Amino acid sequence: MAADSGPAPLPSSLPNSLPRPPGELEALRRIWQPPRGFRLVTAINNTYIGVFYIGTAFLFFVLAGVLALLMRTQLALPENNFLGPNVYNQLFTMHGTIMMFLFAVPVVEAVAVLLLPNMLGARDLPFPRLSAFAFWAYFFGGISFFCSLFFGLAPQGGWFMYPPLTTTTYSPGIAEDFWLLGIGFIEISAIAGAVEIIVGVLRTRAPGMTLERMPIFAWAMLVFAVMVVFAFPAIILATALLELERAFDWPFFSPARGGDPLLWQHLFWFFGHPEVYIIFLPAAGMVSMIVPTMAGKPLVGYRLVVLALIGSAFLAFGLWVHHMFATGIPRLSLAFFSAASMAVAIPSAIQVFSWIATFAAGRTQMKTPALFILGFLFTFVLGGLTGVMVAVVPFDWQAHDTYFIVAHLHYVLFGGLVFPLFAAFYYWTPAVSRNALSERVGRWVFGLVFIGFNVTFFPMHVTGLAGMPRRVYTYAPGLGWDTLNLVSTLGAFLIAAGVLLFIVDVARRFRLSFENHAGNVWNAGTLEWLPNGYYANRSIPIVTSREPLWDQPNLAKDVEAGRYYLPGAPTGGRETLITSAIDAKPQWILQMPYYGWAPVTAALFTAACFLLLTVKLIPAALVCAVIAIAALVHWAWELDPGPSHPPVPIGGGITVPVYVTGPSSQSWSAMIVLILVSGALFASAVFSYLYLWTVSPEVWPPADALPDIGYAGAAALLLLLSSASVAYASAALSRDARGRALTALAAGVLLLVCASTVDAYAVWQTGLSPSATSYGAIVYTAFGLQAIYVAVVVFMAFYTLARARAGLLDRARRVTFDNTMLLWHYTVAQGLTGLLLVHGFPRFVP
Amino acid sequence: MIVHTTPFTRIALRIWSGAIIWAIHFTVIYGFAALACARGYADLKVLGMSLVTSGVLGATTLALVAALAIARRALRSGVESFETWMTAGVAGLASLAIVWEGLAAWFILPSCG
Amino acid sequence: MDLAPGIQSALHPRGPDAEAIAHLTWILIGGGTAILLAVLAIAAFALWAPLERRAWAAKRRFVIGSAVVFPIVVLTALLIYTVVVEASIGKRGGEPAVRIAVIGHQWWWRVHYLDSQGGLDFVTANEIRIPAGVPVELRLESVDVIHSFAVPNLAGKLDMIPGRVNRLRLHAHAPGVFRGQCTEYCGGPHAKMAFYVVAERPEDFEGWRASQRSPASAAQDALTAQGQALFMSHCVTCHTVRGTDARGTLGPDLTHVGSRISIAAGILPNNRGTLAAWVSASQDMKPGNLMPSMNIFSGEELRALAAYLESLK
Repeated sequence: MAADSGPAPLPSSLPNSLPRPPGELEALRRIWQPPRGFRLVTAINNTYIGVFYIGTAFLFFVLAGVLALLMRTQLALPENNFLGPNVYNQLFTMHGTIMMFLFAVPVVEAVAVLLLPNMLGARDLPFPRLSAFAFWAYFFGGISFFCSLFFGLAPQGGWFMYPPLTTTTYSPGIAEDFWLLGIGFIEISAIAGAVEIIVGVLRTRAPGMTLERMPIFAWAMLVFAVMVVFAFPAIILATALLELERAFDWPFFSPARGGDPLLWQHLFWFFGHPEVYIIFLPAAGMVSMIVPTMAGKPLVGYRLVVLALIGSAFLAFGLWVHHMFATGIPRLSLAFFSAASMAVAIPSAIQVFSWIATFAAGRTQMKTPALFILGFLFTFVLGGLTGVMVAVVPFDWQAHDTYFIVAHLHYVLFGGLVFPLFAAFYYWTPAVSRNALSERVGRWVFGLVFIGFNVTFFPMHVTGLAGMPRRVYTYAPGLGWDTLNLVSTLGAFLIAAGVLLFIVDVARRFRLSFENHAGNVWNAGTLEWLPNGYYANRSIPIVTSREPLWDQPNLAKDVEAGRYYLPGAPTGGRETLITSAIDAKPQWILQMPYYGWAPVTAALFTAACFLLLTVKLIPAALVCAVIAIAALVHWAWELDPGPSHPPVPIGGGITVPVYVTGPSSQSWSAMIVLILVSGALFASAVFSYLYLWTVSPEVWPPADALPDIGYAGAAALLLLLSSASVAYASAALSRDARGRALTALAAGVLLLVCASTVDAYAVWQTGLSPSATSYGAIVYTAFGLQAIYVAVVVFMAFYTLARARAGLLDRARRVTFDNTMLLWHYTVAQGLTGLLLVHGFPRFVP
Repeated sequence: MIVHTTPFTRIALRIWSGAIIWAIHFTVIYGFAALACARGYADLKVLGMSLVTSGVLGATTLALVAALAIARRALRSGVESFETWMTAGVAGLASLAIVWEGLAAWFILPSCG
Repeated sequence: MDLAPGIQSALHPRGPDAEAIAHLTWILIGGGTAILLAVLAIAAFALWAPLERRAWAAKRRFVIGSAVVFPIVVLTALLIYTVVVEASIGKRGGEPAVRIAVIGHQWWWRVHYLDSQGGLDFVTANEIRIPAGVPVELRLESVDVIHSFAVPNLAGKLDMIPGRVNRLRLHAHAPGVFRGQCTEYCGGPHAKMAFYVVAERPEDFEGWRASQRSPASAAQDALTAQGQALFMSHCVTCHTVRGTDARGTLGPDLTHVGSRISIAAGILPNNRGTLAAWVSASQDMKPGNLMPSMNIFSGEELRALAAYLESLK
């Protein structure tokens, strides 16, 4: 592929000719018709889920904003008695938690769910029910979490919940367990989103949309998803460890028994720092879509911007200790993180200057989206510069945990996410709503929010350097903070006025419409602006440039007339086109599901199960778990339809299959992503083991106190045999020797369970206690993690056997088997690594 | 079991190779410094410098050579291709980060205090 | 106690480490402001200058020059400079003149002055006096949750983490009073966990130290004697007054509480009125703190108790 050499020529004739057969379009519309009325909750179309998602995320933004207004009211005056510490501590904890977990990450996922398929030329995301499940789980879980405030049960540990404060000794009761509940939902949602987005961006692009022609927002979301895969497992493990300590007294964070409070901080911030780039990079991707349209010119430095996204993503994983500069960690270690924190400024700068250069290339229409972009530029650059300041270790020793940091984080988060989000609302509303939002009101919203924001947060730089710490419910008068706080409070109400005005405008003008949306009012160049229906585009275009609507004349007309690929529904159901990852060549048709009750039901009962566990109503929780699993199984049973349909023509002389197995299958890709998540989770557990060994060698056993090495050897052998059994089963299945394949699978189950039993017995018979020392705790945790995977694999194996029994598994129809096999081999590899760590490491290392 | 890598996986790993070198370097220097400070052998002398300083500088040199080699090889193949351009760019950024991180060892003495 | 703008400010350094950081701060502020204004100017130029004049800013070369080359130059210099400053903090002045262990509690500071062998010299709470002009070493610990010790006039902050000992150097150029606060959220009334560092001339400091070592003075008159009796019957579970039978260690050592410039961990001035108020209504002053409001005394008893505490100089 040549760099920036302009659009490639189209094939000489379009794939499908006119006139299209009668009834083709009507069939397409009928097939994609969403459910009506109350049954809209069963909808899975990405436009509906996207709008629900954005709406819910915005609701949380407003709710958390109201909490902030309450806090600012309390802080307007020194020694104020509007709120006492108990309520205030809940408010700041909830404000941070809701903003970070229930607003920021979901909203960027939501924008992707809404826009990515259309931007890529696909009809929907590859796993629509998964998105629906993820959304509803987030909705039910998030709302119940928020409601804890009304019962006085909201957590008070701060959004980053440092132990020992958050252990049961210092935070008795269930409030902190509510936090762990709330986070559980965003963990599910985010991982589900990551799977969806990786497979969607890599495999459902319109033909001709090579990686180099992909919209920057798609790149940003791909990078987002990969970051989620490697960052979220760290907090999944951390929250599990904290819950184990709270519920069962396993001393991960208690120094008296070999634990260390800093273990939490390492795990949390290893997630927490990439988290802010997870939030920012998609917003930057949105900016990279809006700026070229507003300037009327393509983005300057496309490859530089992609490099910046990739560069930010990997460097972001090397910054986490900059949140811990004041903990007493060795100075040299701090300096590594200081250096990396400065390095990450360069990719951010590349993006900023690419946008400026793009403005320089064209004449910018100063409409509301452009205003918010300018607001973003000012705010984010200022926040980025204070970020370089706090990357300087000695400066951070003064600024850390003061209002200077509050200022910095709001400049980069509000600046880096909220301003682009407002720009995105104003920019993309015409693509999904009958009316655009009001330009006139938009200017007022911008003015109020921008001025309000700076009035609120700029003084906090001074307040912090003048000595005011964070997370204080009041402060002493006369220290030079009084006026600054009052000014900040006034600014907060200005922001609120702007947001209120925005809500009024949306209520008045936003009317969701698939087919009669306001149209391409900005004259943008990317595919989400094509005319639409419930089916997204009438036909799936061939793309020859980065701005197809600018460079390919008549594209919109030809797409709508059905001249491109897949103008109808050849299998009689919902479909989209799967293309190759790099060159986007058509490969096969993905058959997609209709709407149904399973995702929303499973989500509701999953949320209910977690909520009931938190309030310790265990039997009811178990009932809900069973219902949720039943819904999931019911849903899964419809998957893996097999080659139910012969290959279909899509146009241009191309005929593609409607079902594939093996590495090209979207299911295989999804399993690979889940395996990467699992690997990252296990790596976090391994890190925790090694970290605890580093800080508490006195609780580590000498080699002779370990279980006999024979146990580990036996367990390892059993694991390997089970893998071999499954490999044999796979080969047998492809030779159509079904009986032998199923027997081998069943044998594999037996071997796997025996391996775990041997492993469990080996540890148990030494008398090791998980609550006596951190060593015991981490060993049982590693075993527990392995046991969970074994249980899941065994469940999948039984499910596979059930499918076979029902005649739904054979040589050609084997996606279910392949998924089981993939997770199986991973579980064996994880088990072997665990054995090496627990039984080998203490023997090799003094 | 044979692991199949699609062309995408191979290309993605190639583009990321500079970043992988950076990540390994970072893990090694941070882990080594932390362990040495925790166990108290940070100040053993090697080549006139403390163990940690010499270890970090050694690891940095190796990583820098590797990352620059990746960048050079990619540049040699010509940067018209998206893949080689991105490989060189990622390796270049990684090299910069590696140098800056290693630089710290030169100036922070003693390492643990 | 002296509340004045600047006594908790990083921009009003009163010692060499704080000065080094403040100097660095001004450089960062100056450089950051200059870069921000330059970026804004370039953006304005890119948006509104005549199209022909801004063609150079629409090139990839411009992006690389401003986003890669310029930051590499500036940040390399900044990194080296700041790493050198980082290495020098807390390393000036030679051997510390005094060693003090400060132990964080929910929501107060236990202070152990150490002798030259590292053993215990005497115990106090919530106020740290140091000789001016020489470095002092603090050993920071915690018995419950993570706290953080910050006195911005003199030094950067350092956390107090259970299971660890962190060492911080304080060095005040000249005598003065400096305010500090806990800067790691520790639950409840975290906002009301403050302290004062008082730097004195070395001879005054020696005098103070000598008097702190001595046991409490005996009650001088009927009122303070009555107060002492009340104290012995209600307060000894939690508090120590050396030289009497009060040996409780759950709360701050009160042997010389009358000599401190503040009470209740830096949040109230120290006089009979505030002492009485604290005893009878501590939960109103600092909601959630671990001392119950001892609202069991009559007005006269409170006066006696406050007089006794005030006499413990």
